[in-house]
Amino acid sequence: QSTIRIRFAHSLSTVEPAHQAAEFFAKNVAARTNNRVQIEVFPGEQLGSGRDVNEMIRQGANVMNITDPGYLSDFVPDVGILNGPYLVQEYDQFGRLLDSDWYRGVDAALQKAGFRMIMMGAYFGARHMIADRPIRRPAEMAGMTVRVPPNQMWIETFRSLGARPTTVQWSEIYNALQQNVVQAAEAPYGSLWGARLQEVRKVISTTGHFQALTGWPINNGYFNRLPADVRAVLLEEGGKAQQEQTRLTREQEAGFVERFRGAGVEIVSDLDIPAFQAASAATYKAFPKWTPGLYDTVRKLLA
Amino acid sequence: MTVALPSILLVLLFALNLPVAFAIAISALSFFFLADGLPLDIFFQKMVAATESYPLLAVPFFVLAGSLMNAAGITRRLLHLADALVGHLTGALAQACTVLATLLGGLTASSSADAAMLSKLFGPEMLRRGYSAAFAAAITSSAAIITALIPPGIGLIIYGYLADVSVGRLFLAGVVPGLLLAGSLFLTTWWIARRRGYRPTRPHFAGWGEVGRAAKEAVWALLIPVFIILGLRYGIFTTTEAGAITVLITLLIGALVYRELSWAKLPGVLRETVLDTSSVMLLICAASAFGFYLAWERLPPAMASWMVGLTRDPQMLLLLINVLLIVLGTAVEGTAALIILTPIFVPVILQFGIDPVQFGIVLVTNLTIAGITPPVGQMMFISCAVLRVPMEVYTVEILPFLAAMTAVLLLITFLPGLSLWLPDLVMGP
Amino acid sequence: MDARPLRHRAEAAGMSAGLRRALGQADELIAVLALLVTVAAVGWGVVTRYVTSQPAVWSSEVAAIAFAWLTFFGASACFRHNAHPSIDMLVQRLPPGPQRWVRLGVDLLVAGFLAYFCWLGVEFSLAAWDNPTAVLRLPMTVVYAPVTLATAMMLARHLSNMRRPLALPERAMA
Ligand code: NA
Ligand code: NA
Repeated sequence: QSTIRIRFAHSLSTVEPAHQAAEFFAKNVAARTNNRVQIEVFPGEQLGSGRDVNEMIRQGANVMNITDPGYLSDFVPDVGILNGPYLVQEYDQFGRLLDSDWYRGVDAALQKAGFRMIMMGAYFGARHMIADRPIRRPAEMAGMTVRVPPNQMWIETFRSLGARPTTVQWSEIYNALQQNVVQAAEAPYGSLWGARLQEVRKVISTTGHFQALTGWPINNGYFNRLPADVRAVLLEEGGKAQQEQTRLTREQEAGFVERFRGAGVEIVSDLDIPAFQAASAATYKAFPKWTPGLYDTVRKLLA
Repeated sequence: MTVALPSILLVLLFALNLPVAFAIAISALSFFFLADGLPLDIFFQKMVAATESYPLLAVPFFVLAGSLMNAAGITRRLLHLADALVGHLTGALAQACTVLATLLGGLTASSSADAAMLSKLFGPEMLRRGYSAAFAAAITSSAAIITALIPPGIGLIIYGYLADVSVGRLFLAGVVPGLLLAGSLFLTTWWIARRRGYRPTRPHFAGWGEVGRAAKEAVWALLIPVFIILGLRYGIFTTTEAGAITVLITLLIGALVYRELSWAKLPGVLRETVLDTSSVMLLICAASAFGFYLAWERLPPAMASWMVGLTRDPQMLLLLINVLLIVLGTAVEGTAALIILTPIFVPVILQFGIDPVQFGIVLVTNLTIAGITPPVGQMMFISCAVLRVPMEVYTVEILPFLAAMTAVLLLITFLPGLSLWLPDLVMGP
Repeated sequence: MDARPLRHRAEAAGMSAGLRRALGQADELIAVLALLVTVAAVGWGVVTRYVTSQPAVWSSEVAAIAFAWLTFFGASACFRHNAHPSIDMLVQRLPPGPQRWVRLGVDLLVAGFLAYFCWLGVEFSLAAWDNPTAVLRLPMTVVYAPVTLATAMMLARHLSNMRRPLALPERAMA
């Protein structure tokens, strides 16, 4: 039996729990298949940006990626709602959505679009705001220039909160904040720390506007050509890696509060979350490609 | 064999005198034919992907700004001033280029953008004064390296992120090595200029009267850098955006103040910019497809791990890493190599007791110098394209500059204090 | 996709000299327009960050799309101006006979590469139709199809460069 080599590319650095979960997955798959299946992890955009690697997967390249519902919604619009602002209060609530007939329909559509999800829904962290002053309610964000990634969900969300979203490259974010081109940025704790933003902004408000999820796609046709036992191992180990990433991310989030405080950053957590939730609700009306009634369907599943 | 074939093909195609961009692209394509699990379409994507890089937009912006400054008489006025100030020194124009690069270094974060600006600004005038085109390409591309170390610099930010090191500390640590690089260029220029007889443009100092008149004449031209400095300092725009704003300000001053920029001059300026930009960009596109092959086959990490296993001595390790990077740097682009290699090297150097801030300076310096080592290097591509210099001629001309900068590299490798003194002084050890 | 038949057709249709010249320089014109778009889009992005109530979030995406156009249409124009650098160290030292064969082989290799790249571009442009850009939600085809067209123009320019030495006597007669 010949060995199966799968390259697992992603755009994150090696210090992220998501990368560690990928290595965890690679190790377990190798162990369970007696090294017949070798997963090689390529961090840091070595094989291209997140978008490029998704496109490679769609074209049938033998690679895996760490991606999120936002990227996948380019091909299956409905999956993007998982990325919506204040959709859930707690990460655990996603379980109910991902284990529903609604999501099984979405998954079938993803497969049709060429993406087989080895794993979907690992916790990537709650996204918070970093600025030079506390943001306790949406009004305190009014007119504030906030760096967002070039993504419709982010742009619509921050507009609905009254901010002025602008797209600056993540690699320029440190300079952009230091030079005051943008006033605030938003990301999970791990990414804020990774970009060293605590050196240029001293207040984090735990808005938790998105509970970020990641998933691991592979080309569907390629997956279906793999031997049945290999497919089973990949999916099972993917599930375990999902739990591992979630565990690591939570552990890291807890530690980060102390690390940020140690770096002189004020963590503000007495926020008027219902006000943020109400203000951002308009975001859910900005996606004409969604199946009509999608928001209500998802709300019902969560209720 | 499969792994090495694209590299062998690259050397062969260079020897056969294929246009460089096509030699690199065809070698990269051969890899896509050989690799399994990789549809050929991906090659197309990899060729186009580099044009989606926002920081690289600085290349057309600064090339255009430089062309406009030349057409608008702005360059002439600035150089007249520089001439009044330092025209009595040997190789004055080239020395002025290094000075400007060092000053610009405090504003811009990308060496490619600086190479575009310097070669556009100084190139034509150097040719007029009898400097060889190859020398002009060599000094403008080398001087562009300085910006990577004088803060702000994109490479240091990426390293700080990947190595989990303070960017503020890295920025401070880059200042002295950046000035040392500038010093090494001064000496090299002086040495070459004396041997070649790149004479002073005037027998002795012009006198403060003429300096004053030249400064008055150039006051609007001088305001362009001032405006850019203020714009960056007060956060009106990012460094990439500064390029577009420079173009717009140059247009205004050239058309409304100096009134030398006419509609008739615009087509020539635009054509020049398009040709310079796209010949460089096609090279960069091909180089990034070739870089994909190196990454896919994991060649840089494989070489790195092999090298790290060779010694237990920290000094020896640093030396070996430098040698490896110089070899890799001939073919791999700086930023890509930085992202691939930082996570591999940093855990190792920490075990060896080497300071990660100093190591970051060594790594970034080395990989930025890679931008002027043939056959693949962005600053080399840019300066050679702007000045129409064949790469084989450039290869000879760049050697003394490479030697001088390698000497600086060794200094900052073996004397950690050169990097760490300033951050320790300002931020405490 | 040779430029010549197109030019002949243009003559047959009685087009003005100006229009014919514009067609001959279409790649350069498109690249210049794309260059102006990159400057204008990024400049507008900066201005709107301070002047309008919402910054123009589309500006960097438009600049990136135009950058791809600029690169590849400009690369086509480079063929006309012979602006693609190469390293001529060995071939120029060969005797004239072998030198001609090597140069012909190299020219054919580049032509073959461009033809193949163009074909990949057609495939990729079609596949990218349902892959939207991040902000404006345009199909990625707006990037890939023009690159493909520009490659076809490069091929046409390259082939006509190859024909030039043969065509010289003809032109002398005319
Ligand atoms: Na700099
Ligand atoms: Na190089």
